[in-house]
Amino acid sequence: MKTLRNTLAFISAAALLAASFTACGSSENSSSEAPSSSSESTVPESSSEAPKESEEESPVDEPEDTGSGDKRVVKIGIGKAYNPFCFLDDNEEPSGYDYETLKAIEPLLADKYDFEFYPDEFANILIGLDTNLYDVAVHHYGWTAERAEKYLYAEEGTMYFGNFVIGYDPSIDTLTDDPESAAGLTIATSKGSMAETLLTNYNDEHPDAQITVEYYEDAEVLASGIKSGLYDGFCASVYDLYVFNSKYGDLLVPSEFTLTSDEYNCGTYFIYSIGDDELKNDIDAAVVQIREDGTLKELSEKWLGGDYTINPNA
Amino acid sequence: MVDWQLVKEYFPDIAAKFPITLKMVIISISLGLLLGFIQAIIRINKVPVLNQLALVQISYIRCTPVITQLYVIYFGVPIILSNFGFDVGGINKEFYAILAYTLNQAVFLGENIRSSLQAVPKGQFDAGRSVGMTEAQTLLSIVTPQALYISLPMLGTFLVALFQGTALAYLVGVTDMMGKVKLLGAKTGHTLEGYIVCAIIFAVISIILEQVFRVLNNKLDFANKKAKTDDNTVLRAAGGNA
Repeated sequence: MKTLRNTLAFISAAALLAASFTACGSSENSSSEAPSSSSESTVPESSSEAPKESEEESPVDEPEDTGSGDKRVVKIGIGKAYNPFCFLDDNEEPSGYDYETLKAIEPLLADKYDFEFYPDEFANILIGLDTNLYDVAVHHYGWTAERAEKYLYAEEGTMYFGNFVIGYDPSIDTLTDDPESAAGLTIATSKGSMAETLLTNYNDEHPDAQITVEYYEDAEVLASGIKSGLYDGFCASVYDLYVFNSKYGDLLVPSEFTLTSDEYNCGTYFIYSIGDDELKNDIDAAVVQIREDGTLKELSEKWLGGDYTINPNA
Repeated sequence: MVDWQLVKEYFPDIAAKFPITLKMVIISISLGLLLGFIQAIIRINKVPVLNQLALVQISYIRCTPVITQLYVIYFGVPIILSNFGFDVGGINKEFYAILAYTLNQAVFLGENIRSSLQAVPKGQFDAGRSVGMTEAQTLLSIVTPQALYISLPMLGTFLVALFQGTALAYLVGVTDMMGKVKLLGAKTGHTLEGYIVCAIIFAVISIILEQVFRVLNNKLDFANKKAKTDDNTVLRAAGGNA
């Protein structure tokens, strides 16, 4: 077996040597390309620089990947199971309000960008921004201070879902217009959601009137939990509560108090990597354009059953 | 509570995704076997550097849940590849799942193959060498077939476990059977019925796989067959004499 061992040792040494050469080569490349890779995730000094560099960066790409001319390819991580905002239709193609909003924006920015859509799980999309897998995160994101610290929020909301309330089982008669009357209730929310942040904030602000926070995986589990008494209700926007009730048969009523105030930013936004201001500004400008020409309102009426493009707290 | 009509309606849509699950299983187990064999040879021969790397890999895979391995691959590989100048946007999500399952299987299969190779009596190797075969020839033609036979029962168990383990691939965006359940659930608001369909498909296929391996094991159970033949021969001989 000695010969075999020696042969394997030789092969491994050769492979490691080759790998180290490759790594050295690539580190040289990556150091020379560092400005370009950062320009992909951050704002290029001038818009004409980014595409040139991205072409150099990926010599093996097909022409579509680098876009035609000086266009930048924008990788959009979008939800795949959040009906009616972003989901895959029967043909497993992206669909929904958020998707069609971006499709309406795409031609307005066609000279500068090529949009590519990558449907993904909710939990993966923002991490995809961290790892440069995506340039834009789209999952009907509401505004939270925690996200705003880490990512770049769009300035223009694409939809305004109203304030957050607690949707509760009508058999509970202890809830009043005082938020502290929710003390002791078991309220469900989903991990990483806007509602979770609001419930956590509520508990921080009301140490003597704590809400028990439980987590659910999908809406059907939530509905079963409410029916069985596992949860007393769930925290949602007025719009989400309306959707839930229409699916599962008016299980909940909205609390008289809200967990968000009138100053609350109740919009939903596209999210970018910090520094990618140029892309953000371009898409923001396009959102304003489609809002002004009525396209966004049409999409809202088509997908959401009404015009939710005006900020009620503005 | 369960809408059985919906179970019926979901069935064809979810079953249509079975080939994706099958593809992940076949590619992962095949590549896992190949890498596992290489790992076993490295471990047995204690090849410098590679042996240490293999130990690290074994330790990592054994000590972490598959779900974290999936996420590490899904979010880590794009970072590595983009540093090498690859455009990771076009990579199919199945690639990440297959890579994670392959690396996972390689470790477990590799350790299984290693113990099987070491279970083959050393005399078999010496016999091969004594008739002029090279080390590689002896290993591949004499020792490995015997080792694979020894490891067959465990291979069956690994295959069934992998098949069921692929149910997590939807977490990295693969639209397999579980992924389809999520999509149907998003459309209709009913996921429970989809889980029931998945449970039926997974259970049926797992039972079939177990039976296939049971038959295979019986067919290849040469040692016991020989013993039976010997018994019969002895009995016949005994009868003949009487």
